[in-house]
Amino acid sequence: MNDDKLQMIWSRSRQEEPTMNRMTINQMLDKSARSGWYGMRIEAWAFLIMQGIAELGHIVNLMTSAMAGNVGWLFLHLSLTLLTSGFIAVSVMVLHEVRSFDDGNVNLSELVRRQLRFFHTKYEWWIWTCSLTVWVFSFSLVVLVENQDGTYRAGNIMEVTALSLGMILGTYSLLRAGLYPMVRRSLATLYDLESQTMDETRNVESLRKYWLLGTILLVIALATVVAWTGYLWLSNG
Amino acid sequence: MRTSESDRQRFVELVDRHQGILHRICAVYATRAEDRQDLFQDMVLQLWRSYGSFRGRSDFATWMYRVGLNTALMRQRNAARQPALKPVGPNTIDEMAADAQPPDEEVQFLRTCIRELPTLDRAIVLLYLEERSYEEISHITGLSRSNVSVRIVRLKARLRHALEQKGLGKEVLE
Repeated sequence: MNDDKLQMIWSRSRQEEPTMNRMTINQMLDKSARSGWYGMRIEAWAFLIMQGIAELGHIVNLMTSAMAGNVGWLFLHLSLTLLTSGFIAVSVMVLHEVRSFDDGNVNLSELVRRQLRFFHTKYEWWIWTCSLTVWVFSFSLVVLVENQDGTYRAGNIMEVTALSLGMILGTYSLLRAGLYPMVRRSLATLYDLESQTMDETRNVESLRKYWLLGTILLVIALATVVAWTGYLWLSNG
Repeated sequence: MRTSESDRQRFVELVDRHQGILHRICAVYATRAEDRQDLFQDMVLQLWRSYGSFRGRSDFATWMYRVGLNTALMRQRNAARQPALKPVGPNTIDEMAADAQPPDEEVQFLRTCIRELPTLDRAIVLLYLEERSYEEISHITGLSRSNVSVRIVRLKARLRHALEQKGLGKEVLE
């Protein structure tokens, strides 16, 4: 039995191919297609906007503290301004990296490895900065609205601390849970690439529904924390 | 990305000349005509986006296989999140397919067998059937040459077995 005969059968498929004319190909270039990383880009842009608003809030707070001559708060706002600038830089870096995943020039192995490297390094830092961003954002706005001569006093420091921690860890868990299926899929592809095992990708797909359920539960938990925070602030006000 | 009109025309000319590669990738990565059309458009767009960095260091066809297969594989990974593209013009693949000759039974069955394979194996077997060298397959997929060779032996045996079971390909397989 000659193996090249499979190629002979296959070569007959060329005779049946449809033909696309040049005009149609040309028209295709004017279309836009969503990147496979569209969701992540939207997420990164949402946090970038939040960081931008928080940064503006810090700058206003900084000026208020400076005018009030409150050195302690001035130092705090200056630190938060610099910290948020760092967060913005990380978000921009993440957006740039995600854009590079659409590069079709690298081979598949390299593309998957690049994605895994990203998920284990920059993306990991980024989800921490995003978790802190939620807190920094709310802190910036609360101080902006409720400060008195550049000073803000929290009603119950324990409650505020607990809520802040809940907010940070909740956001982190949510982003982490969203990341897990992507990392698993990339790992499975890499595993398929480097080993002889064929079923790994399919196993990962079957696990996906459980992660979806976990993510929904985390969203509900985070929404509860946010609603509780809002309620406490409103009732204190 | 290069945007000059002459680059665009040159690109369209190259895609036109090598479009069979994209059609054959579509044939093994998409079953329905509308999915094939979406994938074809995705690949053309991805090629256009990457064309600026194509410096002619490799053969255009090799580069086309690489970008096309990456797009097909990544699209499969993100299939659930991918919205359908709006069809381009009246001259769609679906309509053109009606003018094309219907596939013979062996070709049809071989395509079906290939579609049953895991996504990466589909790429490897497609490149083998397209008579690409092991070096080229290794270059396109990033797998080592020995890995490519082992996989191809196994995949060929699997395809031959399937054709034999179906009682097809006797005159060419024997």
